[in-house]
Amino acid sequence: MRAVVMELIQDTDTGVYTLSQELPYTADGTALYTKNLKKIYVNLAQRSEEIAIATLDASNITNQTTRVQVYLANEARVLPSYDQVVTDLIAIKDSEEIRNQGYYRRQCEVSTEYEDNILITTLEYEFTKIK
Amino acid sequence: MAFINPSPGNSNVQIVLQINVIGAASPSAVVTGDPPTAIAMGTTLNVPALQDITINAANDVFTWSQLDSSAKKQVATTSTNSISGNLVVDPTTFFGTTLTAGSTTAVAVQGLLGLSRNKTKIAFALRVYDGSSDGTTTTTGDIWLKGIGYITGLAPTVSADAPVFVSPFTITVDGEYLAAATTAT
Repeated sequence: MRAVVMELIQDTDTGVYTLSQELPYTADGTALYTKNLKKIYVNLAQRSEEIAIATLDASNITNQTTRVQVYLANEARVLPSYDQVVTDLIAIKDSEEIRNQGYYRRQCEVSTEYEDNILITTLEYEFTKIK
Repeated sequence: MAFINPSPGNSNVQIVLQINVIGAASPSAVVTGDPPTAIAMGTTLNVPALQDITINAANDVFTWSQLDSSAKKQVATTSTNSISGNLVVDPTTFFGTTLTAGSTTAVAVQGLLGLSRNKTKIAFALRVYDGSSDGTTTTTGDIWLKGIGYITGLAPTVSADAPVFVSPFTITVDGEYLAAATTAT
């Protein structure tokens, strides 16, 4: 799923923000995305499964949820095309490529936090389909 | 005191609902007697993905008043029997292997919808209890509730929040239930 999201970001006009192929790991106590501003990092997908419909035999119907977190950071003083980029990144959740994979629930939650003068934006995509 | 724990997922213990047509297509169920004293189920269709099941055995009651009694008098009369429940729709067992199958074809060919559409009389067997203490056998002390009737009450539904077809169903029982330890007789 990480590869799909990265491909979709690649196809999106992200202005001054560029997509990194690296994972958003922490080096010397600092997350990569706070070191390299205006770079978009995509984390590995996290997957969970839970019963959607319990049955009296072994054929339980299962919801498979996949979460992918995307990070980007920039100086808080100037936000070049920030709103448009975030809006376009949110729109990825409803792209045809995602819909064609059978995800019937597609959500994206955006949160921000400050680290000194850096604004860190996290987008958490959540895709759910019947397994 | 014991209780019935069907242990979903343990094929030796879980609730099993089998159905078959009667006398129409081979290998059909063979019903002996009226009311039935034995039902040999033959090669059945196992109804998969049951969500819940209810055994209805409600007696009607005749009520009257007497001048010498301060309370109403009642006597139980005939019972209306049915098996009802909900299931997740499996395309093969629900629609059958032939969508236009007639009532004389085998149970798997008609499927639940075909049995309902054709008003096909069926025999059913519901395993409500597995007698084994460790869930490793299907033959010792089982209780099968059997009977004959018709598939009714199908109403498949799906929604955006729960994008899987589920359907209620009812087996309207014609006559009495029959309890047996096996599906063979």
